[in-house]
Amino acid sequence: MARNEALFEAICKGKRNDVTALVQGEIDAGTDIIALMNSSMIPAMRDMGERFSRNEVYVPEMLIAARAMQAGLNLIEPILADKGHKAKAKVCIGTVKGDLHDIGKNLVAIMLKGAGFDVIDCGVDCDTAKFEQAVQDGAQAVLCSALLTTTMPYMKEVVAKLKDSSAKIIIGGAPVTRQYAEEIGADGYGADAFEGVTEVERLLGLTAA
Amino acid sequence: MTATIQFHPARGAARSCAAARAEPLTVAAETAGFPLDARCGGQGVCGRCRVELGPGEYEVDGKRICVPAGPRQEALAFRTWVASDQAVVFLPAGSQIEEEGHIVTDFVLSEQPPDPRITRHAATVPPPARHPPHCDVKRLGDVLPAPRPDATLEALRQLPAAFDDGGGPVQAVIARSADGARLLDVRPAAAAFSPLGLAVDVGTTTVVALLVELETGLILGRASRYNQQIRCAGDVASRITYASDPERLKTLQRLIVQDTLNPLIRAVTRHADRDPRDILHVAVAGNTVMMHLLLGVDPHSIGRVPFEPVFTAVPLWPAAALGLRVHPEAELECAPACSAYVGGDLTADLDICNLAARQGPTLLVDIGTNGEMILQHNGALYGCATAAGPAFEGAGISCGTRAAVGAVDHLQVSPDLEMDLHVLGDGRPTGLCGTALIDFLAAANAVGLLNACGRFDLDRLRTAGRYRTVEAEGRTLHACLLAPAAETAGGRDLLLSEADVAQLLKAKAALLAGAQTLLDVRGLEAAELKCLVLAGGFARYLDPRHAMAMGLLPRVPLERIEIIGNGSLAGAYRLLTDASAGPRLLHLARLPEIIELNHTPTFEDRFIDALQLPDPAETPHAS
Repeated sequence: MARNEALFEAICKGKRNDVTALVQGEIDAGTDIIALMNSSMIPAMRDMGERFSRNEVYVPEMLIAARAMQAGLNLIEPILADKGHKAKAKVCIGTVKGDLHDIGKNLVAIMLKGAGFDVIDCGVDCDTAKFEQAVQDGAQAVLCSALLTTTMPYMKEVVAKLKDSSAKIIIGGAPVTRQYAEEIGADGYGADAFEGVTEVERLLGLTAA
Repeated sequence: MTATIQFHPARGAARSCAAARAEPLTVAAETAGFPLDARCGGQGVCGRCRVELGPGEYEVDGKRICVPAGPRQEALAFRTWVASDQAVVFLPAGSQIEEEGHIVTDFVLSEQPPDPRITRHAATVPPPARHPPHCDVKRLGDVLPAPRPDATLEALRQLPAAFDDGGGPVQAVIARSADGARLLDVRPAAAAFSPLGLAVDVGTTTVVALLVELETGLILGRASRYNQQIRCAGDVASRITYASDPERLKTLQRLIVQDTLNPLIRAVTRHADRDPRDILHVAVAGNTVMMHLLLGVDPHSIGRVPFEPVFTAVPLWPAAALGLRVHPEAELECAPACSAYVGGDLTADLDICNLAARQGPTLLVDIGTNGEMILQHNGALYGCATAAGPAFEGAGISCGTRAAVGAVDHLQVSPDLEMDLHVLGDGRPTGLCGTALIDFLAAANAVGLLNACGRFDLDRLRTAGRYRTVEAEGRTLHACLLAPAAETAGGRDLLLSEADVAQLLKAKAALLAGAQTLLDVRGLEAAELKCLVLAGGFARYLDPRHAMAMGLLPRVPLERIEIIGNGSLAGAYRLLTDASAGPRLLHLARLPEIIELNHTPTFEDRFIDALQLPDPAETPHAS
């Protein structure tokens, strides 16, 4: 399927209303939604992610684009669920216990969805039990976020609790460093939302779709 | 093992010191008399302790490096150890903590006759009668106004010297409170003396103190100093982390008491030619974490859900017990906090602008590292705090600096990108402080140099000869040249990169989204606000038109903006000079309903909207 240029542009520019209208139009026209995702929406988020890594776009534009992407996904997700569409992998994400700051976490979640993952959003203030439950529910990777230095140490407990499970643990957030990830024995680290997604793909042995 | 390290500051003479090799460079620099900025507490995140390594051997982040003579190598002082006998280290101006900030603090208070809680009374004590036998304290108490004060230890010690032949004319200092009255001191009637108070705004970054004559309300002196805790950690969150170890908690308390407040007390009393022992009342206002650290209380519970502080209000406390160099019986009074993040500084602001009694919806915004704000609507108060971060204090911005001498405080940009920089103290610029960063974003937005997402029009920059690039972490960033190296104090180009702009947009978005979410909670539009009250030392110097034009503040007609300045300091001043202020603040602190922004569904949406620069076509109205 050829790329829907208008939709691709609307996501990159963060035009939420345009994305909603364009996606709804495609749904109404009976377009193959999975093909639309793969041809236009996932490439748009990947393009933004790559430009983000090259410092051609910054956090504000990423957040605006991700919000537009989410607006489109809101329309598409129920259809995918109906069709029994199989995601490339299931992962979970949440901010650790004590931390309520979820804007960064939400961005990573949308980037993951935009890369074709099935994402269990554990929300904020997650204790180890919440992450364990998600792993039991099939999450192959656990992404933990912390914005505060005061809540970051809880990641160590998550790692300790889940080290015997098959799930990979990837950590991120403003105060988190790669060195800290190595120190506490996490499997991976994402300095930013895009790196978080590529790290999950690497750890799960998936190449970018 | 020790090493001799020669430190070269950006300004002034080099100094050498012998430092233990086990200590990082920050400690050695401090020993040499050059305290460095280390906002993140040595985690290597903020990059504020950047130094340039000259010839010598070092261990940086666990890696051994040898710097030969020639080009210097950059490193973070907190993560660097000297590994050779000799080393030479250069300290950029931006990494050094300056002793005196330039944030001159002012506030406006309506004239009201002073009615201090701590008062002096002249009394003539009758000589002892033999029957019935009594004591000096009893005879003094008999001639003082009711209720009879309890004598403090210091008053007892001063009594014998104050009495002439077992009685006579004296001056007695009495502190009244809800718990009764205390006799703080007794002096001979002839002693030249006037009871003094110290009003203090304990900011996360800056601490300001006023020396006040209690009976007249006269301000005898003012001094400000950086909160020396920034040597350990800059923002509130990293200070909470630093304090998690009991020894480090003690260090933070020592830094605020011994290294910040006592030097301020010395400075103001020396300047006014007064005795620090005449200070009988110390009133402080500050955020909740600062109050915990001042009293040496572990603040870790503030840093995690459910964000509960150990205390919001504390009873009167002996100031000397904390180590403050004032009168041994001086009372320390802290402005009570509303919550963990809406602190005593906001309670003071509430009192100063009389928010609860105002007609019409009014929003009070305290512009600081923690953007705290309170909305008054139909007589009820709603408060929230938003983590704006220190970008507007210059931290984390490549050309950013605090509002000190050498900082650009205001600037103008013409359509052809001519720039007119105003420098504090007139010399060559060292960097841009928050007010100039706001001016820049407003002007760049107005002339179309920046688009809504904060990206430069590169062709315009190139045409004007202002296009530069900055290398950061292996990436190349577009940047705007503000002043060329030849015209700056540090001999480096003053640049603002797109990454810097993104930082500023995040900071302003937090503040604006907080304000809009509070309005949303009450179903109000910004245009319905009767008044927008701006508080904080920074607010006095900010151009509110620019702050609205770049989207830091919600848009209201200019004439509805009221600037109260440092309300925290003004509130502390009121505690000294108005006996009813203490109980009133306690009452006010209980009024705001605290809105948890993270629990408010519209906040994230508002935040993402606020990340963009506003449409320049909708310029704010000028009156």
